[in-house]
Amino acid sequence: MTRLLVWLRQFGIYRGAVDLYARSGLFRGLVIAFIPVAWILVLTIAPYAQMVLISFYERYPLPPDQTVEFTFRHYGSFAERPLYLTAFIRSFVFASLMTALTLIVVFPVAYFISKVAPRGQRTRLLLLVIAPFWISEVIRSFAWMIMLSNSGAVNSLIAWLGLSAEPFEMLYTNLSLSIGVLYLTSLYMLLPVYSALEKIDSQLLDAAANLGAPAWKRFTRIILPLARDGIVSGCTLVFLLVIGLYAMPQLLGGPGTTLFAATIGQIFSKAGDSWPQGSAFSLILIGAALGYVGLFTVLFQSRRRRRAS
Amino acid sequence: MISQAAGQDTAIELKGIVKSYGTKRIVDDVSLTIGRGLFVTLLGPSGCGKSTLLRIIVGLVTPEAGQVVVEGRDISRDVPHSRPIKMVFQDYALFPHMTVAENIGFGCEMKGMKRDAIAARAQELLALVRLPGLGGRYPDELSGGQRQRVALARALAPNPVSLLLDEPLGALDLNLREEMRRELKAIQRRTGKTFVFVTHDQDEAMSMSDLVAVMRNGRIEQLDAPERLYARPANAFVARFVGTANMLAGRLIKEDGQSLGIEMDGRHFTLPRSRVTSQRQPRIGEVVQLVIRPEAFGFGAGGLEFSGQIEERTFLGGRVQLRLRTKDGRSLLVDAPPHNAEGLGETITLSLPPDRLAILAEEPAEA
Amino acid sequence: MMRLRHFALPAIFWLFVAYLFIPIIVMAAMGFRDSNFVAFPIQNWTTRWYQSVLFDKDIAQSLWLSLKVAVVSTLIALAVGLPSAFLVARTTGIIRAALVAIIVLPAFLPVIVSAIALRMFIGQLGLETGPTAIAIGHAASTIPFVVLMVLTRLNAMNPNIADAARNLGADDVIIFTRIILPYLAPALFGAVMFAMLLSFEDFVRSFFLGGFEQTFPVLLFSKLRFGLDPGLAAISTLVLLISTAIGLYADHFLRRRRMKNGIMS
Repeated sequence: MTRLLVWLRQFGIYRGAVDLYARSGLFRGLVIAFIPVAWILVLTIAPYAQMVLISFYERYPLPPDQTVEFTFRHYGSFAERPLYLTAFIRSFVFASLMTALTLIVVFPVAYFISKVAPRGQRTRLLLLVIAPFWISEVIRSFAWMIMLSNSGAVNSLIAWLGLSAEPFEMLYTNLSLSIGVLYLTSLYMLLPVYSALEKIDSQLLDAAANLGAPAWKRFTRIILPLARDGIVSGCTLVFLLVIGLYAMPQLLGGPGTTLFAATIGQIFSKAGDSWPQGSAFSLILIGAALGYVGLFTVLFQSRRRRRAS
Repeated sequence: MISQAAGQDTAIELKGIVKSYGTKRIVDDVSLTIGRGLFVTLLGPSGCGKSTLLRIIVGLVTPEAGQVVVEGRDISRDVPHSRPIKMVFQDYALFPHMTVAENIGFGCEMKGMKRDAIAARAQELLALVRLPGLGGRYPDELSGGQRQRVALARALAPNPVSLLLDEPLGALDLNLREEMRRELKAIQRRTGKTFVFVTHDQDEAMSMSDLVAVMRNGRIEQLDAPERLYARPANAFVARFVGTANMLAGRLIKEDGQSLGIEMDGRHFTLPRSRVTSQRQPRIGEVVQLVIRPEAFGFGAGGLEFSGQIEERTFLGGRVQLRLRTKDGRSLLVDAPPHNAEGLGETITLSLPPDRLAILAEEPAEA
Repeated sequence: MMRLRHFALPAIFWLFVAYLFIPIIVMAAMGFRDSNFVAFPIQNWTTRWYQSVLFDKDIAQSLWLSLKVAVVSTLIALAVGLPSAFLVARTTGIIRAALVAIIVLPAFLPVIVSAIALRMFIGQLGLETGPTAIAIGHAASTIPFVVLMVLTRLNAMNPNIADAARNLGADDVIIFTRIILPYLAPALFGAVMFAMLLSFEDFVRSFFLGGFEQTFPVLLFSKLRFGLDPGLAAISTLVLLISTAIGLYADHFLRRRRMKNGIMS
């Protein structure tokens, strides 16, 4: 391979191109930037730009011989039907609650692995909880459907123990959805929180104890502030993940748990005519979600900055 | 010593090199001629532009102005990968995924040499740097000193006209560094190649070089053999940077053919004009600086006499360094033999032969 | 406090592990149930589901499609992600921050929205819904990870190594093939594994961008909406075992290389 490349250099054209690349920063920039910039323009920016455009169209695709009409109607339709607003608010409440629940469940786990477990075992324990990360959302939902259905594992166990003859209705409820979603989100919380906790020098805790801080003070004054960045990024990841969930709510949730992502999906499975409305709703979701997360991040980071200065 | 003949046969010539980063001139109009077969050191504090100068020579940095001429050919426009000068990097920059032999053979491979020839050349160089049998190892299996030798072998393998070395000993510990100094010098002598060595360590510069260029703020302050650099510094910066120096300010009050009359603290000295080492001759009435090395003083009266009280005494093994305070309030560093028994607070008298100092036509810098 | 450290925390940890693994184990067991319905207890065991499921034409086709899509999308992600990482590595300051933001942002936007935006746009590129569209969609979602993984390694690279090669006579093509690619190899390996697995497990993009051919998660989704059966449990178990094994191997590989490299640099 290298021999070939060295041999190629005896040809003027090849050498010229290679030397031009070495010599000209502009040429070098063009060669390196071409594919990334083209991709960003065509497949990152353009689809969203088109989405913004379509959301203002009266209808899309345009019927022949008709001029483009712009309208805010599709944004307005969001507030018109309580169905949309309910799903929207439910999405945000659900995602917030799931984020909090995930943090509460995962933090002690991350703390155990990073600070309490013997050093030599940490990697192994971490791998144990990371392992299910590679399982598809649909398969995870399926596994919980087997667990929670009326003839599923949990109800069979309850019946076998003689606790109740009637099966509990767990599947297709908020409960089953929450259990399944937690299964999905816990790893997105675990990794950032774990790496933040792992970086905390244990000597800091010893020093704090030596200065007379009791356990809960060490936790609130040392561990929590130092783990804040990891917690914030974990919460951000989890919230954005839950707000965009589509498959799991349909498999594990029921009619009473429709989330906004599903609403958008339904609009799109109708005729092409509904694209403008779907686009408008998508943009509302993005705007609200990023704004919500941005606010959350700023609230936490501003405190940090104040302390630093 | 430098053979004058070797010095006239030019290996590398730099003409008016200028390089700035932002508004700061890193290399400020440097011209330098390096004779073939010499060991030349660029010495200066960090940030003085010496490493940038090396990178300009090999083409890794493009200067705004100036020419690089190698063996009589202007290579300023050549792409870096076709320049005939090889470099040893400060952190060695060995290829971590290649064996030692592959590292050393890389330059030969780029020249399109045959596989056997490359392998033979790698063996030859491993022997030269005294690492026979280590060709199959990976860089992370070597010690710091071994890596340094591999980096040297790798740069020498393609048989470059000259070799540039960018602080190659900086990462080694003290004992190893001294051993490597001798070895580098030996390899340079054996291969007969021109070495351009960059360091901020004056001992390194002095012990290995035929010529030393002292650099500051992108300029070459003085280019000379180590002995002359030490004895005849061109300015106060060089005097202070190379070795330790007492700098005493006086005023030129009399000029008389071959001698100068200098007044200092109300005393008058007559010194030979040949001791003026700055380029410019001082003018009557001007402030001059006298550069006096600590070991230049003799004990007892005679010559130029200084006396003072011992304020500080530092035992340094082969000598004792004393800090004296003269009655005029000047502080002097003086080297004394190790058996010197003068105690703190005692007053002693020193003599200075007039040919052991240097006179600079330069006002003292604001302290 | 001691009680919390030595009793409560390990208990929470192991409960969490149970929560992660029990559903999977139950699902794997369900695959052995000799019945057409999912129910407990499992009285008659059979291996017929595990044996037959691979010969199910629908499932085999969907797995094959998923695999093809994973390979193609990973190749696209590499072809775009690698130069993107180089581009980012060459920039500084605000341009770099903006570039990273625009490259990484797609990973943070709600999946449903990015899938739909692309669904509406592919017509402009002259594409129909189908495998190509899915592959492009998956590539769009994995490029951020490829860029970040390559960039992390690139930032750790000693820049003098490339300069040394250049000084020894290597032109940029040789520097790329002999120095940079081998150096990036572990990151590239990790990125390839990661991109393949992400593509293989994706549902939403495959669902919205797919035509009549279904990838495995989409097929499973539509089958699950009609009812559960032990055969699906069997194939799901097989798929999750394979992807977990690959994922863990890639993780292990990266971890080991990182340690080894830590000594070197």
